[in-house]
Amino acid sequence: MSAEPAGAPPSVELRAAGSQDERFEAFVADVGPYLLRVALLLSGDWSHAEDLVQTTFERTYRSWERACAAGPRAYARKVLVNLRIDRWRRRRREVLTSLDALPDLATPSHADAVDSRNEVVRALADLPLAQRRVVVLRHLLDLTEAETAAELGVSVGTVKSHNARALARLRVLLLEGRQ
Amino acid sequence: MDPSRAARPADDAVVVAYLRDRAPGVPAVVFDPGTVTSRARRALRLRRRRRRTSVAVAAGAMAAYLALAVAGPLPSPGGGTMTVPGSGAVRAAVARFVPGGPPGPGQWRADVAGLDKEVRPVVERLRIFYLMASGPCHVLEYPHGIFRDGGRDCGDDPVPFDAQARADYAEVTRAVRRSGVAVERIYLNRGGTVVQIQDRSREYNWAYVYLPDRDSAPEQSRPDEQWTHVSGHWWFLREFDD
Repeated sequence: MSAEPAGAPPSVELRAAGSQDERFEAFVADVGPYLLRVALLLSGDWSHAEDLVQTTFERTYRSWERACAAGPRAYARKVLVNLRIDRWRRRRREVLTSLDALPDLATPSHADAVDSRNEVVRALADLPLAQRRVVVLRHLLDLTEAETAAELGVSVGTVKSHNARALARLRVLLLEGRQ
Repeated sequence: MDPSRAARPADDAVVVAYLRDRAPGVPAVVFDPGTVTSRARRALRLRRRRRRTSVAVAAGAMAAYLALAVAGPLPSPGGGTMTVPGSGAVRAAVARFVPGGPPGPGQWRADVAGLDKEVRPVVERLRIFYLMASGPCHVLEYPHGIFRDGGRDCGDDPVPFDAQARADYAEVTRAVRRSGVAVERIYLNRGGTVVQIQDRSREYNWAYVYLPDRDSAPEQSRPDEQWTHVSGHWWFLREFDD
């Protein structure tokens, strides 16, 4: 099934020594796949997700000291989930990753099609962005309601209401999908 | 058993379990850290350059605006004058904080009221045609005579004030103090009374001018001369300091 448990972050151990760029490169290598998965869940599109991750890296690099203080992985994830994904305009299509393997059911030559065929990705894409963010953080990245609220800069009540509406909608979408 | 048939999402817990079970996992992709980092570095450089450019453009625009605002009404090609929005407020602020600058438009009416009430009656009664009212030089020219003192810097041919001239000079300077306007000199010119204001500009002189016989600004005698009506027969004049 999945390459690793759904919400589990990869083990990120940044070398304390080395230049900023060296530490950032280690960070990119460690966290890239994790962020790519989050981006894919949020955007529903492989190429779009790559662009989002590159932008996330650029913004994290820009504020690297602040990111290190907050925890680079958490900082980068927060940057990523708060990007204006729906209004995103793709500016580049260079592929910065090499596909050793793809998520479940994937075939390397049809990455976009594969992602759009994934039932969950497709269902998430049907949700409004705010609800999609909550579902991804809360259930697929295993954040608590309080952590999700803090990550998105909204109240816990907002998280709960988005979550309830999203799950209701997903239930319908997934039931329809199965029939 | 086929899990897609077994777990139909009927309630929230099942929906969540269903999502977790079928969501794509972490892809086994390999990022190129060097490429990503160099692009991030390049993006940062571009951002900094854009920011520097933006700051420079904004500073230039602000400097141009302030220059136009402080310069005041400027002659427009079709005749008349034009000013940038907020020019009066800017000039008033400059006048308040920069000593030696011209009074701002917000001050003109009050100055003119003081001059009209305190200074003009005395000047007209004594029929003064030239008076220097600031600095070490004292000059008074009027029908009673021409008087000039204050030392060598004030002219090569000093003429000591007599008692009458001293009293008349003192009366005018008291009137000037009561008006609250920092007056440099008062003289007749352009068909009226010119009250030149103290300033430290090497480029311009500024004056309030009382023109009793005119309803419009006089013809410009120089291109950079600028007349602005204040109230009644009073005008504000900016002229080149030659």
